[in-house]
Amino acid sequence: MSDPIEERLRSHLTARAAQVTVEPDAAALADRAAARPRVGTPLVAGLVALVVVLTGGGFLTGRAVAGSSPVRAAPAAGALAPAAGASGLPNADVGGTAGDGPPLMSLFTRTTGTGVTIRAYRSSTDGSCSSMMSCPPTGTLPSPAPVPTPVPCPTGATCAQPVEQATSTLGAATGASAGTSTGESAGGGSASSGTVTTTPPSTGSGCQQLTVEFSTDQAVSSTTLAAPTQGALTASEVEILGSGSFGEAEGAPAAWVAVLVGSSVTSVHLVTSTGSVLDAMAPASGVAVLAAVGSTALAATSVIGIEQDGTTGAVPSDQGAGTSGPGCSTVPVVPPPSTTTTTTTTGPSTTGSTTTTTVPTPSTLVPATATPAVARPTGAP
Amino acid sequence: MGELGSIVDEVEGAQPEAAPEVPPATFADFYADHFGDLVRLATLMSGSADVAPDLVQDCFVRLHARWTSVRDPLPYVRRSVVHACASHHRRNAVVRRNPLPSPRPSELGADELDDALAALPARQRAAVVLRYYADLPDAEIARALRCREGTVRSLISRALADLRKVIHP
Repeated sequence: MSDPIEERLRSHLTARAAQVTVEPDAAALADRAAARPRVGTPLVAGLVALVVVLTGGGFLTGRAVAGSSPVRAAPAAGALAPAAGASGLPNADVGGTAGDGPPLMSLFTRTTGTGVTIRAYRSSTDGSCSSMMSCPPTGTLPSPAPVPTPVPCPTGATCAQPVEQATSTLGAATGASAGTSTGESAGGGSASSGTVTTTPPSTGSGCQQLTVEFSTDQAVSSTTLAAPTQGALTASEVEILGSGSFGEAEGAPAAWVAVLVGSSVTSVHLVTSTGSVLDAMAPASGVAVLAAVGSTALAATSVIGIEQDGTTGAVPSDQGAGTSGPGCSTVPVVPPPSTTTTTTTTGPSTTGSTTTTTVPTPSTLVPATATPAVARPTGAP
Repeated sequence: MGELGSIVDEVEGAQPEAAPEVPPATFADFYADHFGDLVRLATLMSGSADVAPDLVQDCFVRLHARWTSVRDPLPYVRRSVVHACASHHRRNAVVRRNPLPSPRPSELGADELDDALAALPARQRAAVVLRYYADLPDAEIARALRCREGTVRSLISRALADLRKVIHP
């Protein structure tokens, strides 16, 4: 027996439905389908864009925060032909650190013609330069020069060692080590017209360090040198900060020399006694690091600075004044012969005047004891 | 019931959704065959003959976008119509909570049964329409409402109980 309410519902609904007359309108349907907003595609595109932005932002943030791997920067523009493979930006503050050390500012990255890749960084520390140097500067020392007045150390601050301590280990040398010399050589006493500037002591403002990394296909090495700023030199001065070698244990020895040059020196050449150029580069922030492969790469070589007008500028009379880190040895200094005076004509594009420049005979540069070299894993780039 | 009866017959005769009895040849054919029936169904569910065509048109637009992936379009579009009417019912519930100063009379004419049906919850109303107008079995109603058959019977039972309170046969 059917429920009366159900029967009434059936009849009522059927009657109401019969009142509805409608015809399919395909055109209206097509219009509506065409006008229907496609939310799916923009939504998916938005999600993809969001993922990309978040991923990229996280990557960049991570790189910025971490900052522990210094970005390799480039050599200064104008690096000479022997220096190949340069890339990046000079003087880029990479924000990296050497371990727990101060932030490193990349000076340049270059690869020499013999395949030695050099990466140089400058950093400042609050400590003393002398504490970083395991060996004192050797070689010809300048005549006693006025000792700079030490800056009083603020209470509680970490200051550099006094000037006297930095120069007290220099044997016969006294006074400030930042002077220049045209005096006698420590070895033979002969006169030398070159300019040698030993590493200046730091003052209360901290010590500038030059960290250099070397790498070849077989070995890598690094060293840290005390590096005064370019302003400590006169325009044409060339100062050897250090030299050394690495890779002997790996059977692929290479030698290097780091120099600081004055503002007018536009390129630095490492030349042999026969005059051939082993390596050359344009200084970056007054710093140039030259390297060559070979156990005797730096034997009987000279470092020559070329000034802006093409003049062969100052050449260190003692090219072994620097240190090369732990285990460094005193670089034997060959007494330079009597200086010769030559006439050098300036470049045609400059003043055209003829200037007389005293060019010393290149002295012998012997690399110091090798810095600890690290064998490169097989297959490493 | 006319054409709707054919829909019901087709649905009732169909076995599981994966194997429709006679798949429509084209979307245009399917639209021409079922649009009117579904509009009537929507009219009874929504209580508005003006809104129902729009609701059904929207359902066909959605079906058109998925035409190639829908294996059995009739249950699909019927369920879509039920949901569209439920959404319309919810919107009307908001309007009812905030009545206009002069509410319109029932579009289907003054009738106590219409008023009683309009007062039912959307799912109860849909279940009643699908049962007593479309003559769908509980299984198909459950499929359209996305619920179990027991729930369908419960919905219809409650709806009839509410209708008996206001309808005096």
